[in-house]
Amino acid sequence: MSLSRRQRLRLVRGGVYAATVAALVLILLAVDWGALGGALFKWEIVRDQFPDILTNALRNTVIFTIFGFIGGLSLGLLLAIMRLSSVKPYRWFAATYIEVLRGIPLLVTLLILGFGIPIATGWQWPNPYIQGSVPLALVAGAYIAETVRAGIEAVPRGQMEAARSLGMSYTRAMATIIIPQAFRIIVPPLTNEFVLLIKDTSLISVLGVTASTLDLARFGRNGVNDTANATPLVVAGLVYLALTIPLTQLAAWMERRSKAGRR
Amino acid sequence: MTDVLVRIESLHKRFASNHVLRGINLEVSRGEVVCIIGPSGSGKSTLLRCVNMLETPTEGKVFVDGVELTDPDCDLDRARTSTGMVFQSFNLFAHMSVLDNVTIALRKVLKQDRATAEEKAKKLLARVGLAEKASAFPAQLSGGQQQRVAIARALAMEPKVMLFDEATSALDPELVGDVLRVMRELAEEGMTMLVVTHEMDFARGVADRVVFMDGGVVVEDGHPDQVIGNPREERTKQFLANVRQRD
Amino acid sequence: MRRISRIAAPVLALGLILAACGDDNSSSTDETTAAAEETTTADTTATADTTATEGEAEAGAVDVASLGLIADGKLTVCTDAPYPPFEFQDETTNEWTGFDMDVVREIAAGIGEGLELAVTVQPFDGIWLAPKAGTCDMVASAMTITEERQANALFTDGYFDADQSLLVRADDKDALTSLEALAGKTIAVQTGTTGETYAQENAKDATLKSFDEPAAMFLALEGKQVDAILQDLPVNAERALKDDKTALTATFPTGEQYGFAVSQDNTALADALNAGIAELKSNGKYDEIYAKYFAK
Repeated sequence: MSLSRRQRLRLVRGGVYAATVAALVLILLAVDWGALGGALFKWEIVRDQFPDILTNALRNTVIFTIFGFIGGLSLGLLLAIMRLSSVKPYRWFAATYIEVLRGIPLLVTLLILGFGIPIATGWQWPNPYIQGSVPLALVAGAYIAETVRAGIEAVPRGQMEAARSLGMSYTRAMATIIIPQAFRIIVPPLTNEFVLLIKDTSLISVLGVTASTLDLARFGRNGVNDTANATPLVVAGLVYLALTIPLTQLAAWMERRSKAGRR
Repeated sequence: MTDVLVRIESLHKRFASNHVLRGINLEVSRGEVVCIIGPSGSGKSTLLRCVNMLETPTEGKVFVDGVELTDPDCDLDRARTSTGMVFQSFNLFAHMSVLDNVTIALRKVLKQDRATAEEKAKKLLARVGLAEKASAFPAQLSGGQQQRVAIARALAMEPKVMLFDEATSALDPELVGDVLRVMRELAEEGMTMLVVTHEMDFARGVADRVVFMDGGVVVEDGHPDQVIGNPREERTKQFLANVRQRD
Repeated sequence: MRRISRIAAPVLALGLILAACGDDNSSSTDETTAAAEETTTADTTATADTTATEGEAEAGAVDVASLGLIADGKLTVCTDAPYPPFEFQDETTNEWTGFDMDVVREIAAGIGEGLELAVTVQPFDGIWLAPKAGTCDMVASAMTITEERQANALFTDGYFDADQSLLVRADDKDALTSLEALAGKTIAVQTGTTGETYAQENAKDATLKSFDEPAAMFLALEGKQVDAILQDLPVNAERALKDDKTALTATFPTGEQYGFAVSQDNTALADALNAGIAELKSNGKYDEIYAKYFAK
């Protein structure tokens, strides 16, 4: 009762630590590791996933992601500039586009564009990679546009004023002064966007896959079917992590560096 | 007849319901140094920013070297090469070196090649006393150094008029002197300058004319000895008294 | 007093949580949930609790208690729907109907009065693993009995002949009448189905595109991204009837049959279902339901 505040805090903290350790130990003892391993990580099955999971599934996931990202980035930049334009129709179009594409689930967008367009117009997607990446890029563009816009708006207004005072046109000022500085701000959230895209590619298989166009998630799901075991999914999940963790770490590092740079 | 470089006719500026400039008439002749003083909210900065159209006047006309900037058909980008502006917050381009800051407009707007532009830039940097900082980045410089680079950057375009918007207000006191010195040298070389400032000593010592503004109008406009030393208007006296009290 | 309660509270809380998790090995639901995890993330229209124990089966009398139903008073059925004419919801009443649903409902009525159907929807991929994982008692999903599937689930007797068929666009109905005619073309199949296997074995000159569900396949056919759909005869037939832009051009008897699936150790439920199927066939109800959906 006559414990000082600090002593009380330490006691509580110690209690919480003790309880956590106790819980972990209990879990470790209670779990049937053999059965868990058999259901989630059977070695023979893990081995069988390679090399196809990398040479086929991972390759496709990466292709979809990169096309989706490059398309999305270009579109996002354009939309952001339109959104900030003084020309009303541009602003209106960009704002509407962003609203709509962010408001519809990617799955629905994939189906509407992937199937709807050929049905309505008879025009065919040239190949499955384009069929999958374009809807992805169109949606990514909407999200990236907001990130880019925030980045551009974060560049101090005085930068544009100084550029214009020197006689630079709006476009020239944007290209030479504003956007390069905006990019420093934008890169960490953009990296996050890239990570999200990697995961979004798992929806593309709804458009139908052939043996050579399966992505990682589809590959894992097929594996479950073939082996009646969840291991293929777990392996697919680990491969996803192998892609996404380095990227998120990179984004965090960049953020730390840019914070340190600012005095 | 003296050569009028800047003419402001019946300038009005409204921001929503705020009538900031209420009919300003002003002329600046070639080689003149005009200091604009006044309390905050008087519209001094707004007036200055109307000269290079960073603010668009609601009514009235602005002429720089005979070109009417308020004409809707005016090519503002080109017109702005006649004026050079130095900002209170310097506004150096943070992602470029000092040298690039000075050369960028020469290369992109005047289409000069890099070598020519850099040679010119180096001379200008030397003139403001920062030749050795050419490859440094703005973040590595003190406020006073950044502002001097900003002056060099504006001078690079060989403007006819230099506009200073409270150029020393954001500087630590010990750095103010270096910048004022550069400005004084510029004035002595015959540059036409329009300077919004709180530095009364500078105004008294360097200006050819002092304009006192209050509440969006020009209250007094005359020789510094008269406006600052022996003001006619009550408002001017009040303002100067407040300023002296602060010091 | 206060300092004790501050430490005790988290410890107690943890203790309670651990106790609630229950004992480890006796609950097969937790471990093998992993196998069917991917199949349980789909939409569900009616979900069942998973608080459970699968009882040991007793052969013989249809004692509802011995069936080890995961939800009392209900027979929980996993299905991949909509898949007309086998399982779909009535447009107006939202009631589950279709050949499979009607048959199972009849059988349930036979097992015990008041035994209701609770339907859980999930993708077809691996759906036969669901009873083992404990998400439902049985699977009724126009599902063909195959050896691979039997390795992981207990199937009832066959209750419907599983023939495959080809559905094409009406314009192609004279040209694309066989698998040979589809050489160099694209065939749509549903992932994890016997149709997919059939196509892999018999249509080697065609490109196969696998889809998650029939709806996507019909869209792809309409959009000319595939030239034919190879799937169960009744499903293609139904579509050809409803949509005059499509046509059924070939049937492939496979000798296989649909069966219901239950967890491998639930022989009691399997027996009850078999008895029910036999009963329906002998008392004419089977033919009645058949005629309802397949009278031409």
